[in-house]
Amino acid sequence: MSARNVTVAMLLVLVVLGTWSFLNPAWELPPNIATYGHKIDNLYYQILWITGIAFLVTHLVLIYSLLRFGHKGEGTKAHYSHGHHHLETGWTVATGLMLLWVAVVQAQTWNEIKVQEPTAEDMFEVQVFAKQFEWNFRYKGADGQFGTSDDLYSTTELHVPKDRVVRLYLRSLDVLHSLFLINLRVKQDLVPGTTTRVWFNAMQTTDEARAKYGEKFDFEIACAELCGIGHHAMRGKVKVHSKESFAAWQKGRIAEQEEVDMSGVTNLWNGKPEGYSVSFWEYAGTIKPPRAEATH
Amino acid sequence: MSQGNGHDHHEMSFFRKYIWSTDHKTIGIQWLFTALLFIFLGGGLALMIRMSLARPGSVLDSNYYWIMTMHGTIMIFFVIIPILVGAFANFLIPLQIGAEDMAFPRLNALAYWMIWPSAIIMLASFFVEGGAASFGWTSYPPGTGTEVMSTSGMTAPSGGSGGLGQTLWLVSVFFVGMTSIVGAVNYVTTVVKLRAPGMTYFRMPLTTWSIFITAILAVFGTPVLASGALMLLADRVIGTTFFQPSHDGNVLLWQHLFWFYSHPAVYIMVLPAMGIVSEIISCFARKPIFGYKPMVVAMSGIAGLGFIVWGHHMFMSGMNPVLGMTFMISTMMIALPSAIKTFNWLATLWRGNIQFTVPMCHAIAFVSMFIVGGLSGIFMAATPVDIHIHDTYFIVAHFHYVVFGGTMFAVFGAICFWFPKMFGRMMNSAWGYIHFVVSFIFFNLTFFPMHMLGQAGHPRRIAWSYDVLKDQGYAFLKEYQGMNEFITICAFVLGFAQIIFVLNVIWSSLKGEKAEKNPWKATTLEWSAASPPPHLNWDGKIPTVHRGAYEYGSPEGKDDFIPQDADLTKA
Repeated sequence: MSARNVTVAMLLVLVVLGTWSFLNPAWELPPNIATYGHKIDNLYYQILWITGIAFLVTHLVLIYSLLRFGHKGEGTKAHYSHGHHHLETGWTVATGLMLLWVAVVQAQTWNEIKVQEPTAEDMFEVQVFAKQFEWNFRYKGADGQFGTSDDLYSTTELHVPKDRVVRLYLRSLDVLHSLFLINLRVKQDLVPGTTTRVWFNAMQTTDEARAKYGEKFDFEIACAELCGIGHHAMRGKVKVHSKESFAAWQKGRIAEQEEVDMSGVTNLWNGKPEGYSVSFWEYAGTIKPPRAEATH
Repeated sequence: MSQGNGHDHHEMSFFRKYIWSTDHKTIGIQWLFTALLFIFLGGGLALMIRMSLARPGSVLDSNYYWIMTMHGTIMIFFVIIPILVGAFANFLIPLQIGAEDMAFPRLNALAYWMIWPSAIIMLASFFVEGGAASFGWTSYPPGTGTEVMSTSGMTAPSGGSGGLGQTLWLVSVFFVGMTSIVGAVNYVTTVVKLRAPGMTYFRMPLTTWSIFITAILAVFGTPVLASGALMLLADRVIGTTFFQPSHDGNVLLWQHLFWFYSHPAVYIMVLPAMGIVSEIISCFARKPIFGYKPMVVAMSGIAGLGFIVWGHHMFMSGMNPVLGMTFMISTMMIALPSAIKTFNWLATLWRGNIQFTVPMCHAIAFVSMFIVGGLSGIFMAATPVDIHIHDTYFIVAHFHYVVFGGTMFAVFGAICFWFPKMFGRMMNSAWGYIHFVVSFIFFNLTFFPMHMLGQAGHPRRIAWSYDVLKDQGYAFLKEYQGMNEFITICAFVLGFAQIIFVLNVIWSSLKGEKAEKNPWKATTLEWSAASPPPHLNWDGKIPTVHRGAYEYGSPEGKDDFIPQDADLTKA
C-alpha cells in the first residue's frame, strides 16, 4: 500500500463516482414548465458534457502520469524539459476557442430571455412586492389598470394563467430578496429603490403537473437572496391555471375581497411614505402590510 | 548592522524575539499559528451550519444566520488570507529571493499585530446585543445599513444586522483591509528592491511570483473594500445614505464596490496556492516546471482579468442584462489562464520521476480538486444557466472546491513542505498520509453532493430546507433531506480529521526528526540556508544566483537537481 497506489485509487474512485453521478438519471434538473426553460436546460447539459469530458481527460492523464512516471530510484533522472512552445500555444488556442464558443452560445439565449422584451399584446402583468418574509402579489382588475379599486391581491400564492406571457414587476419593501421560481427557470433579485422585472410563459397548469408528479405537487417559490432570520421560511407557490380555472379563481377572489376591509392592503400598495422621492410603489415599513388573514 | 534596517546581531530576549519580533520568519510563523487557531473557530461554525441543515431546529434559526456569516468571514479574513499572504508570504519571500529580511520589517510586524484588534472586534461582536453580523460575509445593504433608519421612516429589518454586531463587523473588516494593504506594500517593495545578485524576475520561484502578483492585487483592490466598508459604516452610524434607497442611495453600488475587491480577493485566495503547488510538483516530479513563463503570464492574466469580472456575482441582481453579457465573456476569458496552469502541471508530471511524499500528495489533490472547482465555475459563468443555479448549493460546492479542495490542500502541502525549514524538524509522515487520505475522501463526500443539491434548486444560506419531523419546508427538497444528513456526517469526519493535522504540527515541531538543510533536494534559495535559518538568514553571506528556479534532472548536474546558487564553474 504505497502512497502512490492510495492516491491513484482515490483519484480513480473520484473519476468513477463523478462519471457515474453525471450519467445517472438522478443528475437531472427539476421539471421545467417555462417556454424558454428547455434552452437553459440544454445549455446546462451541454456544459455538463463539455466539463465532464474535460474532467475525465485531465484526470486520466493525471492518473496515467502518476502510475507510469513513479520514481525510479536514486541516481535516475526525469526527462529534462522546460516546456514546449507549440504544445503551449496549441492548448491555449483550443481551450480559448471552446470557451469562446460556449460564451457565444450562452449569449444568444441570455439575449433572448433577459435582454429582448416579450412583445405579446395580451401580456398578463403582476406586481410583486416582497417584505420580510412574505411574497405579495397584485393583479389588475376588469379595468386593466393597477392601483384602482378593483385590483386583486394575494399573498404567498402567485396565480397566473397558462400559455400567456406573464410579466412580473418586482419591488422590495425592506431588504434584498430574490424571486426564485424553480420550475419556471426564473430568478431575479428585488432591489429596494428600483423596479426589476422578469417574464415567463408557463406551459403546464398546476393540475396537469399534479396528475404527473402526485397530488401534493406544487410549483414552488423560494427566496434566493439572504434577507434575515426568516429567509428559509420565505416560501410560496405558483398556481398555474387553465383559462377556465383562472376565471373561476378571479371570481372567487373578488367575492372574498368584498367581504373584508381591504383599506390596509390598498394603503400599503398605494402609499407614499415621507422621505421617499420615488412616487410609484414605495412603501413605509410603518404601515401594516397585507397579511393572509386580513384578506380572507 | 545590515542595510540600516534596524537589525542587529546581539542575542535578543524571548519577549523581543517572539513577541515584538521584526524577523520575517517569526512573523510568518505567528501568522501561521494565528490562522490555525481561527480555523477551528471557522470550522466549528461550519459544523453548526451542517447541524442546522441536517436536523432543522437543532440550531436556533436566529442563531443560524450569524453563524453562517461568521463562518465565511472568519475563514476568508482570518484563515485563508492570513495563511497564504501572511504566513507563507512572510516566511518565503526573503528566503526565496535571497534577502536578509523584508524591506520594511517594522511595517511587517505592524501588519501582523493589526490583525489582533480586528480579530478581537470581530470576536467581541459575538457577545453584543443582537448578536454578530448576520447578513452574510457579503453584507449587502439595505439589510446591513439601517441602524439609523428608524428615524427616517424605515424600521430596521429584523434578524440581527440592525444591531451593533454589523457595525463591529465593518470596523473589523476595515482593519483587516489595512493589514492587507500594509502587508502587500511590503511584499511588492521587497520583491522589487531586495533580490539577491543574479536573481532576475524570471529566475524567481513561482511561489514568490504568485505572492508578488497577489500583493499587487491587494494593493489595488483592498482600498476599494476599505472605502466601501467606511461608507456603509457611515450609513449606519452617522446617517449618510450612500446605500439607502429611501434617500436616493443606490443598493447596487455596494455590490459593485464589494465585488470589485472581493472578486480579486478570490484570486488572492488561490494564486499563492497555485504558486506553492507549482513549487511542490516541480520538486517531487524531479523535473523543471513545464512552461515557467506561460505560468507567470497566466498568473498575471488571472490578476489582470480578475478586475473586470466582478459583475458575474451580480447577474441576477437587477444590473443591466447587457452588462451581464460583457461580464460573462470576461469571465469565460479568465478560465483560460487557469486551464493553461492546469495543463502545465499535468505536463510537469508527464515523464517525471515522481516521489509521493506527503506534500506531493496534497499538491496532486490540489490539481484534481482545482479541476473540479474550475470546471463547475463555467456553469455559473454561463449567464442563462446561472439563472437556475445562482445562489444555490451549486455555488457553495464550487467555491469550496476551489478554496477548501484547492487552497486548503495547497496549504497542507505547503506546511508539510516547508515545515523542516520553519522548525528544523521533519513532520511525521505516517500521520501526514492518514490526514491526507481522510481529508481527501471526506472532503469529496461532503462537497460533491452539493452540486446535486444545487441543480435541484436548493437555495444557499437557508437555515434548513425541509423539516421531516414537522413536515414543513420546501416540498421539492424533501427527497434531498437524506443527502443533507449524509453531507453533515461527512463534514463532521472532515472537521475532526483536521485535529490529526494540528496535533502532528505541534508534536513534530517539538519532537520530530531533526531536518537537514535541504531534505527534499530542492533547488530554490531557501534550501541553501540552515534549517531553521538564523536571524538574517545566511549569516551575512547572501547567495549569488546562477540559474532559474527549477533545475531538476538537468544533464549538467551530477545529482538530479542543481540549486539556484550552485556555481558549476567553480566545481
